[in-house]
Amino acid sequence: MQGFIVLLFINLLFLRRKPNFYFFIIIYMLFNSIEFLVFLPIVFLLYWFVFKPLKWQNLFVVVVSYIFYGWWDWRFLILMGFTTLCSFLSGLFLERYEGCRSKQKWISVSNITLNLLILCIFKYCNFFGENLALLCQSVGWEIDWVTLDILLPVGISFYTFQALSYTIDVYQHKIKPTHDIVAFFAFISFFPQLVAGPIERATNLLPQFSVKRNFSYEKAVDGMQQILWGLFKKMVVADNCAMAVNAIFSDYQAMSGPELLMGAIFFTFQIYGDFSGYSDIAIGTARLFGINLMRNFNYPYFSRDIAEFWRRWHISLTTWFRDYIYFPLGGSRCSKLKTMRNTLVIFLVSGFWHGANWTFICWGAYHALLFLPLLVLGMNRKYTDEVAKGRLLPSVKEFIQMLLTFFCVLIGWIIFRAENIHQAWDYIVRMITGFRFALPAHGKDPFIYIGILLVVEWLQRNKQFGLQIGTHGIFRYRTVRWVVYYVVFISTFLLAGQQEEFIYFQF
Amino acid sequence: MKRFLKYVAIFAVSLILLAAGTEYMLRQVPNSLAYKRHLLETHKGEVKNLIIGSSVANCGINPAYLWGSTYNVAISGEWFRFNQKLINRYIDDLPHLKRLVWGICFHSFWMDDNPDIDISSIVNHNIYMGISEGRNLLYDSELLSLGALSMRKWSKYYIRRKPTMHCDSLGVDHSYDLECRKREWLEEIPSMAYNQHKAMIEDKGKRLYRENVNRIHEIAALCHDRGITLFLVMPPVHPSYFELVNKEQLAMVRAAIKEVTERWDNVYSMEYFGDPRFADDDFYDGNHLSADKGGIKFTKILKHDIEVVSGFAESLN
Repeated sequence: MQGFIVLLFINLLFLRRKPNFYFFIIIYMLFNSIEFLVFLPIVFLLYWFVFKPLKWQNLFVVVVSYIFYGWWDWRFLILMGFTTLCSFLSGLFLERYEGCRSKQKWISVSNITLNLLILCIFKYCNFFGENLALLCQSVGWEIDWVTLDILLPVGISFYTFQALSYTIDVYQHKIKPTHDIVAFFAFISFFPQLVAGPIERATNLLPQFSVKRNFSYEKAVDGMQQILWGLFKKMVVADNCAMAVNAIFSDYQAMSGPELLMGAIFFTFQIYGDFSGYSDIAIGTARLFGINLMRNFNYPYFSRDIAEFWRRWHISLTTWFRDYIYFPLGGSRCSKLKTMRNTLVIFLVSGFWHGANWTFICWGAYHALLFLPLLVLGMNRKYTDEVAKGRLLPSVKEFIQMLLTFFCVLIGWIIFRAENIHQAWDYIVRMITGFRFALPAHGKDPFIYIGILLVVEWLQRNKQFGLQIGTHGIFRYRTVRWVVYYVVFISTFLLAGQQEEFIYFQF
Repeated sequence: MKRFLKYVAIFAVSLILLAAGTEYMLRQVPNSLAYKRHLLETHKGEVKNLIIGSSVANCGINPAYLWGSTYNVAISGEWFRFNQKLINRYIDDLPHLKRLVWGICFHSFWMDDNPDIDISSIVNHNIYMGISEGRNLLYDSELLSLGALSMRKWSKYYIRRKPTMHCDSLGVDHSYDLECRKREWLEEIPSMAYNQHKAMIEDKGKRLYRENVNRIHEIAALCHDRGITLFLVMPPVHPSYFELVNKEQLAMVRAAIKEVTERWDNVYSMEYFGDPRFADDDFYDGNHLSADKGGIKFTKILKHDIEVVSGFAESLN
C-alpha cells in the first residue's frame, strides 16, 4: 500500500506530461541564455546593494537559487527542498547523539540511504527494472516490466552528492553541524553550481555562508574573465563540435574511418568545452558573489598518462569518490589486490553516476583497465607536476605521451557517447578499419576553434583558466586587456554554434 | 564596487552601441525578401498575376514571358507556411489579382518552420517581409539571432563589395543563371536527391505533409472566395534527378495535388516533373532551371498550357 502511494505520488508529480505541456514548462535558464543575462545583473545588484546583512544575503541566495532551478521545473523544488531538509536534520541529530556512535551511525546511514533511494528512483529505476526483466527473460520468466517515464531532475546527482558529503563529514567530525538552516539551504542550492557542479564540500562552501562576504574588485574581474572563457568554450568550441558530432554519430554507418575519427575528436572536445565551460562560468559567477568554488578541471588533455588525466578531469567528483568511497574501502593502505578492487569500484561507480546505461559502466570499466596497470606498477603518481614546466613546448616524449593519453581518452568518449555497447564497438571498429580516403563533409570549422582552445590553454596551463591574464607583462596595459575582452566576447558571439543544452545537466 | 560597475557599464554600453550600429548597417544591405515586399507594395494596385513558391519558381518562372502585370514574389527555401502568410497578408490589398501561380518544389511538403532547421528564414521574414512568427523577441534582431551568418552578409556587402541581391525588376532571381552554375553540379545530383528524401523519412506520422496539404487547401479556399484561379505548378527537374527521386514521395505529392484540384474548381495542376523537353543547359542544378535559359523556355511552355487548360487566354491580357 505504501509502495502504491509512493508510486502514485511520483506519477502525479513527476511523470512526463504531453509534449505540448512541456513546451511551456521546460525552459532551462542556461548560462548562455538571454534569461541568464538578465537574471545575473539583477541578482548581483540586489545581493550587494539591497540584501547587505548576512542573514538576508543568504536568504536571498536561497530564493534566487530556487527561482533559477524552478525556471526549469518548479515541481522538482519540492524534491530538492526535501533532500536539503533531511540532510540538515541529520546534522542536528548527529550532534544531539554525540558520544553515541551507534545511533550516529544509524542516522548517517538512514540519511544516505534516503538520498540514494531518491536518486535511484529518479535516475536508475528504469535501468534496474529493464535489466531485471531481461535477466528473468534469459531464464525463461516473462516479466511485464512497465517502464516509468520519469523525468530526470536536472542536476540531481550533483546536489545529492553535496548533501551526502555534509552528512558524512559531520559523522566523521570533519565539520560541525550547522544550526543555520538558511545557510545550509544556500550551501545546497547555490545557483551557479547547482545543476552541474563543481560538487562542493561542506568543509569548503558551508563556512563561506557563515561569514560576511566583502566585494573584491580583483575577484570580480577574475570571475568575469572566467565567465568569458567559459562562454567561449561552451558556445564556440562545444556547440560547434556538437553539430558535427550529432550528424556523424547519428549516421555513423555511412561514414568513412577519418570521418568517424573526426566525430570522436569533436566529441572529446565537445564534452570538455561543455563541461569545463560550465564549471568556469559557475566558478566565475560565484566569485562575483564573493564565494570561492573548488577547481573542477586542470587542462586534462595535457595529461601524460591516464592517472594524471583523472587528477585533472572533473576534480570535484573524482575527489568526492576518493574521499567517500575509496578511502573508506581502505584506499591504497591495504594489500595490492584490495587496492585494485577499490580502484575498480570507484571507476565503476563513477561510470554509473553518469547515467543509467551500460555504456557509462563500460566507460568506467575501460578507464579502470587503463588505470590499473599504472597502479600495479606503482606509476599512478608519476606525473603530478605541470607538463613542460618553464618551457614553451613539450619534449617529443611528453608530446607522444599526451597524444597517446588523448587517444585512450578519445576511445573512452566513444563508449560514453554511443547509445549502446554494440554501437560503441561498431563505431570503433569502423573508425579503425574503414580507412578510405575521403574528405570529411562535416564542418572543418570546429578544428579551428579546437586549435585556438589548445593554444590558449597550453600557454596558460599554469593558470587557473585560459583567460586569466592578470596585470603583468603586456597585460599591464588596460587597453590590451580590453582588446582581449572585446575579441573574445565578439568572437564568442559571432562564432557560436547552435545553442545546445549542457551535457552534464542530465547527470 | 563603483569601479567594477563603471567598467562593466562601459564595456556593455560600447558593445550595445556597436551592435546597434551593425544592426542598422545590416538592414541597409539589399536582399531579395525586402525587394519582393517592395515589389508587392509598390505594384499592389496593378498586380493581376502573382507567382509565389520556393526557389523552383524564383528562378524558373519569368513574368516577362507571361502576361502583363505579373510579378514573381517566390523566395528560395520558402516554406508553405510563409507562402500562406504572404497571401493572407496581401490578398486583400491586391484588388485586381486574378491568377496565382504557385511553383511547388516537391520536397517542400516536408518542410516547415522548425527553428532548429532554419532560423534565418524566420528572422528574415520577420524583419524584411513583416511576417512574424511572434515567438521570440530575438527574431527582431538579425545580428542577435543570426550571429556569424549576419556578419557574413555584412562583410559580403561592405567589405568584399559583392552583390547580395540578384532579382530583376519583375522578381526573377538571376543567381540561378548559367554563369553562376557550379562545375560539379551533375555530380551533386545523387546527394541532393537523397537529402530531399530524408525529410520525408523524418516526418513520422506524416504530420508535416498533412499540415502542408491543408495549407494548400486554405489558400485554395481563400482564392476561391475572391474569384482567383490557383495554378499549382511543378517545374521540370533534370532527368537524372527525376530517376533518383523517391517514387513513394513523388506519389504522395501527386496525391496531395490531386486532392486539392478535385476539391476546388478554381485550382489547376500543371506537372512538368519528368518532362523530357529540357536539356542539360536548361538546368542550374538537379532541381532548378537556369533563370536565363531553362526558366524562359519553361515559362513559355507554362503560359501556353495555362491558357489551354484554363481556357481564358484572351481575358488574360
